[in-house]
This record gives sequence, C-alpha cells and structure tokens, in this order.
Amino acid sequence: MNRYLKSIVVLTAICGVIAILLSATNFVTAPIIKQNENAAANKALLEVMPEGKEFTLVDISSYELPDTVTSVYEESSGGYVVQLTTAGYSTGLVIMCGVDKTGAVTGATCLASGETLGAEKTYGDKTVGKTIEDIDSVDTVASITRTTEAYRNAVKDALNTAIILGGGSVDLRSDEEILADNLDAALHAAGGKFTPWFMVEELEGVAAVYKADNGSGMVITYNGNFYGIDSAGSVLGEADEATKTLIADYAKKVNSSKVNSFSASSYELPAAILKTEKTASGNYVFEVKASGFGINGDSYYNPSGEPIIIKASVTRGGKIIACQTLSQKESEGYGSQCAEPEFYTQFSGKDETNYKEIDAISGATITTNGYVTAVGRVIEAVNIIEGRAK
Amino acid sequence: MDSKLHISVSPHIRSKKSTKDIMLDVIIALIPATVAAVILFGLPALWLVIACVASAVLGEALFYKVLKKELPIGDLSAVVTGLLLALNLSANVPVWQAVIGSLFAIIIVKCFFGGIGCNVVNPAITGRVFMLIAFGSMAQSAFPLDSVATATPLVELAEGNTPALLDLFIGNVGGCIGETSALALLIGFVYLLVRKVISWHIPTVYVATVFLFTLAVKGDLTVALAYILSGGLLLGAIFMATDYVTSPSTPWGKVIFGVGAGVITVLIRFWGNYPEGVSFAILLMNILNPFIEKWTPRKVFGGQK
Amino acid sequence: MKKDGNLSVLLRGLLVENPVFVLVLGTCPTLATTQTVIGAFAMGLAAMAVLICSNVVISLLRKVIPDTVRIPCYIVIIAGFVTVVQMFMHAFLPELYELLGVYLALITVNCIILGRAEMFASKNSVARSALDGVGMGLGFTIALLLMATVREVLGAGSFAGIAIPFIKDHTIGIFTQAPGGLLVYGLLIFAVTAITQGRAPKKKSFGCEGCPSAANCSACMGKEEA
Repeated sequence: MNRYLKSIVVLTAICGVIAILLSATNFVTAPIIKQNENAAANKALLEVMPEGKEFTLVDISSYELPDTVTSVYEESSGGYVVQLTTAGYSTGLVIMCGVDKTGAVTGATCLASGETLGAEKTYGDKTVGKTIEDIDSVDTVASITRTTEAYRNAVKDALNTAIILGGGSVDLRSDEEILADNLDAALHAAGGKFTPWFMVEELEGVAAVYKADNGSGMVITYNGNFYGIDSAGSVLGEADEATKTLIADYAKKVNSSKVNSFSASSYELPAAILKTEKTASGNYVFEVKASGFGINGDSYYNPSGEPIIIKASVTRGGKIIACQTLSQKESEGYGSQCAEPEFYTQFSGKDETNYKEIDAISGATITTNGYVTAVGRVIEAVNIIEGRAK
Repeated sequence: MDSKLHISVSPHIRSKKSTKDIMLDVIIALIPATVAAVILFGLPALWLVIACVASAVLGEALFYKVLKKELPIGDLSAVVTGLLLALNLSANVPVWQAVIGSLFAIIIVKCFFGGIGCNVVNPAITGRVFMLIAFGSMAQSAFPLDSVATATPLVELAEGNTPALLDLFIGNVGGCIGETSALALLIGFVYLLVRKVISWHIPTVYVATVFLFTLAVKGDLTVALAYILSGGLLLGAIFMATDYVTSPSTPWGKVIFGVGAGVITVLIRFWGNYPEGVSFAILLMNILNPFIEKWTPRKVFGGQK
Repeated sequence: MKKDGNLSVLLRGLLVENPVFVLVLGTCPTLATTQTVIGAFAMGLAAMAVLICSNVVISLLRKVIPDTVRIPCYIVIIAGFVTVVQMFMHAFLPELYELLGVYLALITVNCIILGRAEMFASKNSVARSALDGVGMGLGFTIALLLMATVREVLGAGSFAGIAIPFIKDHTIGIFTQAPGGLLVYGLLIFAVTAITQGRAPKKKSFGCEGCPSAANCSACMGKEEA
C-alpha cells in the first residue's frame, strides 16, 4: 500500500511542479507572443497605410458591402483598411487595401494568390492615390489581364466600402445584375427572363443574343448597346435608321436560322471532331473534344481524364462565330474556368491566323493549350471540308 | 579455367553460357534500338549513350577499386545497365543528369547490394525512376510536352488522335530515345529468343496483358495496338523485365510476373499521375519477385513435390 | 556498468555513440527537419536544451522516483521542458517556431531524450548526466547539420538559405524529399560506421541494461539489479 501511495504522491508532485513551471513560463512569454502577433497583423495594415497609427476592427455585419470584402479596419484618423478576397476568373487573390479619409488609395498589397506570374505583387502600387472616379484609368497588365482586372476591381470594392462606411451610397450591382437590368430595360415585355442564344449567325459588332423565355422577342448587344426586338421584328431603343435596319435584318436571320445535321463522313476530319451540323445559311456547328489536365493533381498530365467538350460555330471561310464549353471535369478553380464565358467568348471572331491569341487561364496552361488546340481542329475541319487543307 | 570451369548465371543451372556471353548477346540485341535512337534523335542520343555506358563502367570500377576488391567488369553487365538506362531517357536530358542517374544505378542499386546477381531490383529501371523523381524537369520535358518537336504518342492518344501505327512501328514519334522504334526492339527480341538468352514468357505475357486490358478499357482494336506500340512497353518488356536476377526463373513464375507488370502498367497509364507506368510496374514486380519465386518452386529432379 | 571518465561521457555522443548514426535514435526528426540547414540547427539546439534539462532533473530525482511510475514521470518532465522551450521560441524566435512547426512539440517523443533518461540519467550523478546531455545534444545537432548540409546543397542548391552558384542550377530534387532523406541517412551511417570501425560499442548498451523497457520486461526481470 505504501508503495502505491508513494508512486501516486511522487507523480502528482512532479505534475504539480511542472504545471507551476509552465504557468510561470506562460506568464512571461504570453504577452510577448501576443505582441508579436499584433505586430505581424499590424505590419500588413501599416504596409497599405504607412501613416496609420491605431487600427480597430469594424463590425461590418450591419452594412451592405461588396461580396469580396472579408474584414475592415478603421484607422484612428478616419481612413479604412479593407481586406478582400476576389472570386471568379482569377483564383482567389487576397488583397489588403488602405483608403484614407479623402477617399484615395494609400496602398494595396496582395497577401496571397494562386498566381505564379509575380506581377500581382507590385500591381497595387499603381493604384496609390486613385479615387473612385479615376480607378478605372489604371491600366491592366498585358498577359495577366484577368488577374490585374480582378485586382483593380477589388481596389474599387475597397473604395466603395470606404464610401459606404462613411455614410455614402454606391451602386453595388454585380455584372450579372447589370446585364439583367439592361436586358429588361431593352425589352420590357420579357419580364426579365432571358436565355442566351448560341450564335450560329454572324454580324460584325454583335457580341451576344438573348431570347426572351416568354417568346416576346429578343435582345441583341450591338457595339456595346442593348437593343430589344419585339415579336413583330421592330427594333426598340434609341438608334439611327441604318443601325435599326441592320439589327432588324440580323434579328430576322436569327429567327429563321435552322441547324441541320450534316454528314461529314466523306471527309477525313480530325478525330477530335465529335458532331457536325450546318445551318441553312451555310455556317458550321461542330462539337469537338479537347484534352484537359484532367486530374486534381499538380504536375502531371493524366491521359485518362475526361475530355472537355466544346461547341463551336464557324462561318464559311473558317471564322469562329461563337464558342461554348458544354462539359468539362477540370481541376476546380483552375482548369474549370474554361467553362466561364469570360474564357470561351474570347474565341468569337477569331480565325486561322489569330485563334491562339487569347488570354490563357492562369494556373491552367495545359487546359488552355488543349482548348486552343481543339478550336484549331475546328478551323482545320472547315478547311478540309471546303478543300483548303494543306 | 576460363573455358573448362565457369559458374553459370543464377539460378546456376548447368549451362555453357557465361555471364559475359549472355551480356554480349544482350548488347548485340540492343544494337538495332541504339542505332535507331541515334538515327531518330541525332547526336544528343549518341552523347547520352556514351555518357551512361562510360559512367556505369567507370563507376563500378571505381567502387571495386575503393573497396580493394577484384574487378568484375569483364562480365559486361555494367555496359548493359548503362546502355539500357540511356535508351530510357529522353533526348533532351542533360548529360550531367544522365551521369548521376547512371552512377546511382550502378553503385547504389547494384554494387551496394553485392554486385551482379545480388541486386534486388533492376539497376537500369531504378536509375530511371530515380531520375524521374530527382529531376522533375526531365520528367516534364520528356513526357507531357514535346520531347523532340512532337508530343509523345501516349499524350496524342489521350487527345483522341491515334498516331499512325506505321509511324509507331518504325519509331517516327516522340518519346525516350530507345523506346520509340518497335521494329528495332523486336529485332533484338528475336535475336535473344534465337540465342536462347531469354524465354518468350515474360515479354509475351506482359505485352498481351497490356493489350487485353487496354482493349477492355478502350474497346478499340487500333487504339489498343497503338497503346502497346507506344511508350516504353516493348523496351521494358523485352530487355528489363527479363533481367535474370530480378525476375522469376520458372515458366509459371514468369507468367505471373508478366501479368502483374501488365496490370500495373495499365493502371498507372490510365488512372495514375504519370503518363507512363512501365518502369514503376517492373520495379514493383522486381520487389515482389522473391514471393513469386516462393509460390512457384522449381521442381527438384527426384525430389518430392 | 564500468564507469567511464567524465571526458569520455562528454565526447562519446559526438561520434562513437552518436545518437543518430550509431544508436539510431530520433530518426523521425532527423528525416523531417533536415531539409534546410537552419531548420536542422534549430531542431538540434532545441532538442539539446530539453535533453540537458531533463537529464539534470531526472538525475536529481533518480532516488525519489519509484520504479513503477518511472516512465510517466520522465514523460511529464520531458513534456514540461519541451513546452517551456516551445513557448520561449514562440515568444523570442517566431520565425524558427513557424519553421519547425509540429516537430518542436514532437521533441517530447524523441527517443534520444527518453532513451538517455532511461539509459544514463537515472543511474548517474547530476554532473555526469548534464555532461551526457551536452554530448548527446551536440552529437544530435552535428548529425542533423551534416544531413541537412548534404540535402540542402544537393537538393536545393543552397546552404542555410544562401544560394550557391553553379550548384543552384544543377539541383537534384529528390534530396529534399523523403526518399532522398533516407538515402543520405543510410550513406552517412555507412560513413560513420566505416570511420568508427572497431571503436563502436560492441552492442554492450543494447542488452537488457540498455533497454528502456527492461524494467517491465518479463524476459529480464531482476537481471538489472543483479
């Protein structure tokens, strides 16, 4: 009994002494650790607002702020530091942006990014001193247009946040909401319900066609403006006669457009072409498969990955009218961006000479290359059918 | 001594062939593939071959010199190792990397385990896998991208384009320098069969397994044919899976070895992270070899089953 | 056990009884923290600090701690010192703290420390135990530095973060990965064995008397006392 008692007493005593030792150490080190952590957090804040003194976290739950904003600090003299995370085409840049009390950017820095190009590290410096009026004048950087555009939009969001927190009001509609509002304004009768139409007819200046779900007409975007066409075929909205005639003619073409199946078995087309169709007006509509990256890994090409299926319409002569990703199983957040309109609409209007000149998906070079190759195969197929093959 | 008494290669069955004779036959059988490599890929291929063979031979000599042991270089096995490793590299691999890979193969994989006959795994295959992991750049430039101006056939196949079978057969495609020409490799295979250096079991079963498995997965005869003519399959099946030391000695053991290597190859090709699985498949089967030998014992004459 | 001189207690940890290359203890941190020289150095020093403290304290208490609860006592003492070191590093060397991450806390289960407590500190005077801690700690640090030097120079082309011209363009990536670590480890064991041949202890400390679980092992019950 004595032996057991001794064991228990000794072990308990040792535990007690160690516990005292630990609490003593903690007493000494905890404030220093806390201080270090604050300094590290403040360092990032000071980097974007060098003249700032004291920062306090703002409770943003009661404000309606841009979706990208994750946290806001208020500086003692009245400025704000906003932390944002971008979404969409560019894969999650984490940006810290300082805005002083006059509403000008004091600095912006990128805390984390999935990019490898490096230019996003210094891009923030270009925005210093800009306000909400002239932020759009900051140029994007060529070859990483998408990334820098997302960066600039984040800085814009930060400026808007400062305005909102300062009591102002800002139009926070997203691109989709603006588009929906524009479509509805152009053709009231549709009641806001539109479906994008896969373009198989071509007209210089037309970027997209939306058909009203209730059959009341369509909206055509022509040179950046929205024009409604009612079911009778007349063009709504402000435009000169020549433009109206042009659009009305095109709308007629769209309404009468018909896609027929078309057998290309007598031609030796590239194996990647899956389906061939032709419109009554003589344009081609193809489905083609592209090899993608195919796996959630990071370095190697996987031959078993599901191909990307692309639908593309091409004029006689081999110019791409429109292009759309039908299905893909690329890495989420990287290659999967090939299904975003921002990517595939880039091919519209391209032909044999320039279809490779598009912005690649950053972080997904193999997917981009596969996609571009597949678009090239479509043009090649048209050349073969029309007897221009080399 | 030389002519009357000699120890045959493992498994020490009575034979008139010495290790040197066998290795000489293997080298002769590799000549068509080497010549094809130099014709198809030019001078860089020649430099790789010279660098690998020289560093393998010198590396082994140095090792035995340092250990003050008798030099066994006369058996030519180091030449075979260096040559096989060179044929397994893509033409744009820098020479210094090839030298390091070759030294790794000969010193660490072979000499450290006791020299010829004692190595657990095939030195050339292990050297190649080492280089694949050690020099990421080589793996990338050799496989998914252009090796010499063209994408490798396995990548083309994945895109849905079947390369012309004739091109694959002659070797007019991208890839490692020694693996592209099926014709040259098959000439070597026939020579080895005629000289009775290897038996038909492992290469035939291996390639057949890959063919049937691919056919089952892809369901297309031409595609399946293209898959067995592409990549390092023939080179691996004929020259590396048949290494005496690291493959089973009985016919049934060889069949098991071939099936296993074939299945692993296809698994890696279709579902793995690397485009080619031959070297990993052979390496894994090398490691399993002692167990295969145990399951398929040689019947001892007069002994009990 | 024959008593060695104090100098020998201090020095044998460096080579002849090097904890990593000869006793093959503490292999987990050896493989995990030797990708960079700086990480290896920090790991070595942290482990040495814990080793000296725990050796001293355990030697002090060697007459007090009952045999039956020996191991729990040692672990509590060791874990206590590890946490102290961890807190101090977090406060004063935050970069190194981040670099070592979980391996810092894992010093607790580093076999070298428990092994020396059991093999040496529990049977020797305080001064000798402290010397043993210094020697073994230095041996561990030197071993880690050796491995890290080979791995960082060949694998990343730099030494302590400073790029080395020429080599930085000809790196062999495998050395910074696990297989390369094992390869270097094996080759260094080979080198040390070659150097110490004949002088290495002939398994004397690997019998029951050197075995950490001897007291609870039925096969050698009572042998130790005899």
